[in-house]
Amino acid sequence: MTHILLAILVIMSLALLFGSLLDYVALRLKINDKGLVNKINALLPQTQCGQCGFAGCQPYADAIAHNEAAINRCPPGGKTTIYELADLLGTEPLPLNPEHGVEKDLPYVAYIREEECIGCTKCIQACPVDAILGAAKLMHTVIADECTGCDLCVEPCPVDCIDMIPVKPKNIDWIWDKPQGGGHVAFNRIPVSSIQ
Amino acid sequence: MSLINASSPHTLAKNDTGHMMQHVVLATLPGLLTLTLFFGWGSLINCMIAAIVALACECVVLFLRKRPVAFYLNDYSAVVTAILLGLSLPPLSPWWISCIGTAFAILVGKHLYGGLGNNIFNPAMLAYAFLLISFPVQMTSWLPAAGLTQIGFIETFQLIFNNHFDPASIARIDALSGATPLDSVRSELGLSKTLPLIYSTSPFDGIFAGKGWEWVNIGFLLGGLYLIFKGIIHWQIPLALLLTLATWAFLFMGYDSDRYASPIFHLLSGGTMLGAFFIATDPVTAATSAVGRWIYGAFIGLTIYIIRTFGGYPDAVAFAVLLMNLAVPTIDYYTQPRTYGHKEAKFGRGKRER
Amino acid sequence: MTKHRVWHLRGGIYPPENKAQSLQQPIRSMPLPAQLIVPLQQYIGSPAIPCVSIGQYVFKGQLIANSPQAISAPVHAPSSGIITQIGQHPVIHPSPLEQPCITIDLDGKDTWIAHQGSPDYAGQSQDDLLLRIRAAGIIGLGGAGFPTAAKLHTSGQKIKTLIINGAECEPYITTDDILMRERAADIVTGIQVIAHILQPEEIFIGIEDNKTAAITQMEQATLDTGIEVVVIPTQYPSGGERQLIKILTGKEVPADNLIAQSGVIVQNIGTAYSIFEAIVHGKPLISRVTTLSGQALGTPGNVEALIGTPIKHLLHHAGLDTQQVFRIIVGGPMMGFSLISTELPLSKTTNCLIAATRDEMPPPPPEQDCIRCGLCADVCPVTLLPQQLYFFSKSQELDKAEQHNIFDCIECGACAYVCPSHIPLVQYYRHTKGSIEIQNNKENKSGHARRRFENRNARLQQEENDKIAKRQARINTVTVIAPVTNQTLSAENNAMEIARLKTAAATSAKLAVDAKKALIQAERKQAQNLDSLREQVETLQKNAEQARQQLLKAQETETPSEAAAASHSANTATLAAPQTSADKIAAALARNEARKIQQERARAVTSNSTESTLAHPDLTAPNTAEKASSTTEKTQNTRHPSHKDS
Repeated sequence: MTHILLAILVIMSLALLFGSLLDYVALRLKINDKGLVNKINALLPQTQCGQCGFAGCQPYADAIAHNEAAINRCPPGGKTTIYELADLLGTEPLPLNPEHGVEKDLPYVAYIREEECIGCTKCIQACPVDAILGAAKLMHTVIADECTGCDLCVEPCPVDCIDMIPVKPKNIDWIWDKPQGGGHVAFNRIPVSSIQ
Repeated sequence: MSLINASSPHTLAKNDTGHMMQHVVLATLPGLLTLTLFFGWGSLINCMIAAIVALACECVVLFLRKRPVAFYLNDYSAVVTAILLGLSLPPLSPWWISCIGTAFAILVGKHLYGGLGNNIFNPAMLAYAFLLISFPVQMTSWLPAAGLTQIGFIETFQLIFNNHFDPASIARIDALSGATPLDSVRSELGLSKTLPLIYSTSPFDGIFAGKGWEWVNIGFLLGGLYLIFKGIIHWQIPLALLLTLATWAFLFMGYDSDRYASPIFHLLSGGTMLGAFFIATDPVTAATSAVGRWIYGAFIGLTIYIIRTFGGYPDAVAFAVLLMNLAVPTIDYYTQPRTYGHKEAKFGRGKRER
Repeated sequence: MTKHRVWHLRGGIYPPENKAQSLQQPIRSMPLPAQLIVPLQQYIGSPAIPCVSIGQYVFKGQLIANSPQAISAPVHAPSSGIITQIGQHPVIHPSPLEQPCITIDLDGKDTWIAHQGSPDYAGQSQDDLLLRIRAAGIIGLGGAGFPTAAKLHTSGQKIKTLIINGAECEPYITTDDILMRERAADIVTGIQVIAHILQPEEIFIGIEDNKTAAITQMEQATLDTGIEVVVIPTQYPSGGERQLIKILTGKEVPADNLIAQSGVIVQNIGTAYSIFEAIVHGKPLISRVTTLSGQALGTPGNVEALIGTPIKHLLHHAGLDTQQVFRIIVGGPMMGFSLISTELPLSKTTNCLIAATRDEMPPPPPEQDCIRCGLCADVCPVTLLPQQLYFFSKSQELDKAEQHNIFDCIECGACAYVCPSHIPLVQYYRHTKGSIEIQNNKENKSGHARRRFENRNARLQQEENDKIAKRQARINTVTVIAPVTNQTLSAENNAMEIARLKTAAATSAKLAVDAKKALIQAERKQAQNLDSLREQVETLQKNAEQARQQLLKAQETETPSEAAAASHSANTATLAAPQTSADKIAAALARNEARKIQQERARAVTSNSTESTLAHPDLTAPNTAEKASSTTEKTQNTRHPSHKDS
C-alpha cells in the first residue's frame, strides 16, 4: 500500500514541479512579437471599410494583436481570413460575427451613374484607396480595378448616384472543384438529351 | 442516355489496395506454415482469433465514425494487422492476449490516429510492445521446436482458451515452454559462456541457426521475395535492413567471435525476416522517398542489432521499428528528391515568410 | 547512319495503347455541317476581336477576327456562308462558362477566298515568314495552343536545337501518326520552313517506336535534309515538351525559364504541316486532323475536320451508338476531360474525341484512403512527391504545396493511373494550383490596396502639415492684438503690415459670409432669433467692408502710421461679402435641402443646438456628411475672395 502512495506522491510532486516550471518560463520568456500587428494586417483584405467597427484595417489589426477584438469581425475577408488569422495566432477559428456584416459570395465594385453626378468630390474624399477619379465640378468615375468594394462612397453622395454591382467571374477565374474524399466517387452522371 | 463527367485520367491501372493487402496475407503463408510445422497449431489459432477480433473492432469503429463499413473493410488492412500480430505472439499465448493486443492495435494504433493511412506507428508492433510490457510472463513463454505433434490441435485449443487459470494447464505450459535461440544466447552469455559452447547445445541443433526458427525465417524470406516480385513492397527497405544488420554483426563478430553472434544467426533468428519484409515495409509507416527508405531500413537494422546485443530485450524488431517510425517525418523532411528543372532538392516546411 | 543517343526518362507508365482501332482507314473528310461555330479564344492569350458583322457573307479562309496583341492569333472562316451570330456560346472547356464565338450558316458551296502561297520560302526573310504564319492563325496543335508566330519569334535568343514532336504518347490518339504516314513530305517542308526561321544547329524528330510505318515514311522524307529521325522508347509521357527534350538531348530545362531560353524549340508535327499549308499554299488554319475513337463509334478513324464543326456532327458521321456511349472525352484518356454535351464546336486544339462504352472505360471507383505506398512517386516523370502534394492539397496547406513544386506538375495523370486507392490526384493538384493563384491574387490586391491607402493617408497628412505650416507662417507675421499705439508698431516692416491687413480682411470677410450663411439657414428653419442674427450679419459685413478699405488705402499710401491706422481698424473690421457668392451658396444649399429635409424629418433636431452652433463658424453638425458639405463650402468660399483679389 505504501508503495502505491509513495508512487502517487512522487508523480504528483513531479507534475507540480514541471507545471510550475512551464508557467514560469511562459511568463518570463513571453514572446513580444512587434511584427505581429503587421503580420495580422497583411492577412486582412485592406478594404478599409470599417465594418469591423474600427477605422480601417490597421486599427483592427492592432486591436487583434492586443487581444481587444475577436478575429471574426471582417466580412470582406470572410471565412478564409478568419482561418488564416486563427492559424497565425494559434487560436480557434470562429464563425463570422453577423453583427458586422455577411460575407458576399461575389466581389462588388462601385459604379457612378455619370448622368447624375454633380461633381461634388464627396465620394473622392470618402474613398480610402483613391479609386475615384475626378475633381470639383468635373465628372467623377470609379476606376474599377482599384475599387475594393468597401462601399464607403455610397453614403456621402448627395445625389445617390453610386451603385455597387457584382463582378461576374471570367473564364480565367474558374478552377477545378476539390474532390470530396474518402468513400466518394469523383464523377457526376449527367443525362444528355442532345445526342440522338 | 447519360454521360458521366469525371476527371482525368479516364483509364486506371488494375492496382487496388484490397488486392495488395490480400497478397501480403498470401505471402505470410510460407512462414505461417513453417511456424505450424515446427511449433504446433498455436500460431494458426492465434491468427484466427486476431483476425476475427480485428474485423469486429473495425466494424464497431467505422460505425461510430459514420463511415461506410463494407467499403472500408474491403481494403483488408485490418486483416493484415491481425495476421502480423498473430505471427509475432508466442504460440500458446492465452486468447485474451490476442484479443487485447488486436483491439489495441486497431482502436488505438490505427483509428485513434485517423484511420488507414494516418497512423505514425505500425499498429501490430505497437500492440506487441504494449503486450510485452504489460504481460511479460505470457509474452515470453515460447515453445521449443518440437514439431507439429508435440501438442494436438484440440489440446492447443484448450490450452489457449483455458486462460492459463487452470492449474493443470499452467503446469502443462510450464512443462512445455522453452527458450528461443535469442533467449538462450542472451542468458548464456550473461553466464559468461562462450558462443561456441552455446551453439552446441539445444536449441541450436538446427542447420544454420536455431532449430525451427531458421526455417520460419526462410519461409518469411520467400514470402517477402514474392511481394517484391509482385511490386507490392519496395526492395530498398528489406535490403537495407538485412545488410546493415549483417554488417554490424559481422564487424562485431570479427572483433570477438566468442561474445558476438554471427550474421547468419542474426538474420535467421527471431522476427528478423518477418520484420524486414512485412513489418518495416508497411507503407503507411515507412519513409516515402527513395533515399529515405535506405536510411529507414538501415537504421532499423542497426537498432535491432544494438538492442539485441546490448539492450534489455532478446528480440528487438518491434522496438526498432517503433523507434524508426518516430523518425520517419524527419527522414522525409530531409530527403525530398530533386525535381526536374531544379538545381537541388528543397528541404522541409515551406511556410511562407510574411 | 549513326543513331542519336536517347536518354532515359524517369518514371512513366505503359498503359494499353488502343491505337489500332483508329488506324484502319486513311484520313477521311467529313461532310459539311449546316453551321459552324468558330470560337474566338482557342489558345492562351486574349480573344480575337471580330472584324465582320452579322449578315455578312464570308468566303472560306476569310479573316473574321483579328487581334493586335502579340500573343494572339487571328481566326478565319472555315467555310463559306453568312455570319448569323457573334456572341457567347459554350465551348470545349472543363468549366461550363461560355466564350465569344462567331456562328456561320454555311451555304454548302465551300468557296475559297483568293489565296496564294509561295514555295520559295528560303528566299523570304524570317520576319516575313513569321508575319505570314501569324496571319494564317497558326497555333500549337499539340494541345496547349500557343500562337506559333509568338513562339518562333525568339528575339535574339540563339536556338541550338529544333525538336519536332512526333511522340504522341497518349493512348487512342493517332493524328500525328497518320499525318506522318500520309503527308510526310509536306511535313518535312514545314519543318524546313521553321528551320529557316530559327536557323538551329540540329533538328530532331522524336517518334515513339510503336509507329513503325510513320518512322519509315519520315525517314524516307528526311533523306539528305539534315533532319534526323530519332526513335524513342514508347513510354507515357515522353511526348511532354520538357520530357522530350530530356530524352533527346539529356538536358533539363530550368523550371523557372522559358524553354526557348535553353536554346531549344519544340513544335508539333501537326503545326509543322499547318505551316507548310500556310506558306506554300497560302491557306490559313481552318481545319485539322482529329482522331475519332472509342468502342461506341461504328467507324472510328482520323478525319480532316473544319474548325467550328459541332462535335455532334462528327460523332454522328463516325457512327456513334447513342445507347452504348457512356463517356465522351476530348483529348486523350490520360489528360483529356469529359464532355456532357455534344453541341460544342471543334477548336484548333481538339486533337481527339473518344466515345467510350461502359466496359471500355468503367466509372471510376470510389476514393479510398492513401496507404502511402509510394507508387505515385515511382512513376512521376518530374520527380515530384505526389503523395505529399496530395496531403497538402487535402488539408489546404497551400504554402507547403508550392514549396514542394506543385507548379512543376505537368498533370500527366501517371500518379493517379497507378494509385491503388483510386485517388483522383490530378484533380486535387489542379484545384490546389488554382487556389494558390487565387490566394496570390488576393494578396497582391490587398497589398496594392494597402499601399494606396497608406499613400493617401500620407498625402492627406502632408496637406494638413502644409496648411498648418502656412497658417503658422501667417500668424507669425501678425502681432498680438493689443491696444494699438504708434510705439508698438514696427516702422520698418511695411510689407508685413500689408500682409497683416490682407489676413485681417480675409478673416473678416469669412466671418461675414459665415454669418450670412447661418442667417439663411436660420430663415429656412424659421428660428426665433432671426433679428439678432440679421443685426450680427450687418455688423460683420460693415466691418469687413471697412477692413477692405483700410487694406486698399494701406497699399496705396504705404506709410507706417497710416498703415498702422489701417491695420488698427482692420483688426476689428470686416468686409462685405460679395453678393454673387452668397447666391451660389443659396443655390447649392437648395439642392442639398431637397435630400436633407427627408433625413431631418426622421431625426429629432433640437433647435437650441442648431442655434448655438449657427453663430460659430465651425459648424459641429451631427453627421459627418453635413460637416463634409460645410467644409467643402467653406473651402469653396475662401477661394472666391482670393480670386476676386487677384
